Amino acid sequence: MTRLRRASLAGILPPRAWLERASFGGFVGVALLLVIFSRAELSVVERLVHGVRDTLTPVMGVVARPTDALHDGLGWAGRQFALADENQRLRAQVDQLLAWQSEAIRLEVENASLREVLSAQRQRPVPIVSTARVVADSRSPFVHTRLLDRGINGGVRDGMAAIGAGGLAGRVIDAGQRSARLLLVTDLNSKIPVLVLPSRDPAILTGDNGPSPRLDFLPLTPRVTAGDRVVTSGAAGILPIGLSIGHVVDAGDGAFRVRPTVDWSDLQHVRLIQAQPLAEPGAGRTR
Amino acid sequence: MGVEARLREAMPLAFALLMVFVDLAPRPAGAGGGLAPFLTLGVVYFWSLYRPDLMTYPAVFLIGLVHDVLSGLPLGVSALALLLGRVVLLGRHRFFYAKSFSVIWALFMLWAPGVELVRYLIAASALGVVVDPVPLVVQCGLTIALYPALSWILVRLHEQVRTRAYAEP
Repeated sequence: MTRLRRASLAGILPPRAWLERASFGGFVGVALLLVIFSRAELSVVERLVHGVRDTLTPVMGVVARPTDALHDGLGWAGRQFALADENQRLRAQVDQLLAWQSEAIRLEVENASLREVLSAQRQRPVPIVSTARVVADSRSPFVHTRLLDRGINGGVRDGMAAIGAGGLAGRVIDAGQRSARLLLVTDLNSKIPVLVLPSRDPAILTGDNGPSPRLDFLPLTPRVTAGDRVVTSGAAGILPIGLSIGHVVDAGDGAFRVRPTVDWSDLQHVRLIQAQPLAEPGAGRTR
Repeated sequence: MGVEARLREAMPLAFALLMVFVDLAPRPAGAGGGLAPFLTLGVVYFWSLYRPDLMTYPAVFLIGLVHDVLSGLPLGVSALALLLGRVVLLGRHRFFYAKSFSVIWALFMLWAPGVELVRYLIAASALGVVVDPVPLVVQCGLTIALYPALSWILVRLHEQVRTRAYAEP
C-alpha cells in the first residue's frame, strides 16, 4: 500500500519533500500571523508569552549565573587597582554628603513647620515592594528592555518603578506570574512625566533607543540649563514622585536631552517600588 | 529507537536553545545591551547544513519563538527570519558535504548578514520604526568572527550526535 502511494506520488513530488514544504509553509504562516498580530495585544498570545517566559526564566537565571560571577570578579579586580584613588574620592564625597546632611536636616525642620501652617499631609515614604534580578537582556537595537526573575507571585505589578544603582532604570510593563519585563527609560516606548530641578519646569522624558532620552513638551520659555537634575514628577500617578533620573545635557538647537545616572553596566538587580495614591487635599489635617 | 539515541538526536535543538540563553544573558554593558554576537544563528546554520533532519522547521520555529519571548521582540520576528534562513539552505547540505571549513565559513559570511537583514526588516515593519542599523552590523561581524570557535564546539557535538549516517553518497 505504502509502496503504491509512493509510486503514485513520485511523479508529482516525493512525499518527504512535500511534507517538508507543507511544514515550512505552515510555520512561516504562523510566524507571519504572530508578527502581524504582535501589536494587537491578543490575550491568547499574551498567555503564550507569559507561559513560555515564566517557564524559561528560572533556566535563564541559572545560565546568567556565570556571567554575574564574571561581572563581580572583573569588578573586584578592577577595584583593586584603584583602591587609593577610590578612598580619596570617597573621603571627598563623605565631606560633601555631611554638608548635605546638615542642609537636609534644616530643610526637614523648615518643611515640617510649613506643613503645619498649611495643614498639608506628610508624604509617606515609598516602600520597596520587591527586589528582582535581571536575567536577560533584549540585545536588540529595537527594544531596550530587561527580563526580571520576579512576577505577580513576587508582588511585582505593571507600572512599578525599577531603581538600579544610581537612579531610575525604568518601569515594569508586562508582569507574568514568575517573570516581568522592564522597559528602560531609553526605550522608544518610554515616556515619563518629569520635573527639571531647580526650575521645576515640567516635561516628558521620551526615549528614542539612544543613550540619552529627549526632554519633550517643556514650557515655551524653559528655564533649563545643562547639568540640571531631572526627577519623576509623579504626574499621572504611575511612578512615585522625586525619583532621580539623570542630568540635563544641551543637545543644541534649543533641545535638551537627559543622561541617566543609573549605572547600566551594573544593572544586575533592581529595586521595585509602587507609586502611592495621591492624598486628598486637606486629608492630612494634623490638628 | 532507544532513549539514548533519542537524547542524542535532541542535542542540536537543546544546544541551539542553550545558545539563545547565552546570547541573551545579561552582560555589563549600556542600556542597549552593548556588543554581543548572535550565536544562535551560527548553531542553526551548522545543523541546517550537517543535520537538516534534526534542525527541522518546527525546531527552528521554536528556537526563534523562545528568542523573541525572552528578548521582548514582537513575537514571530526571529522565528520568521530563521525559518526563511533555513529554507535557503534546503538541499545545500549535499553540495557542502565534506567541503573545507573555509567554504562553509564563506557561505556563513553571506548567509548570516542576509538573515540579520531580513530580521531587521521584519522587526522594523512590525514595530513601525526604523532604528540605527550599526549595532546589528557589529553584531553580525562578531557572529561571523566567532563562528570558527563555535564550529569547533559543534563539530565535537556532531560526533556525539552521529548515530546514523546522513547525506552519505
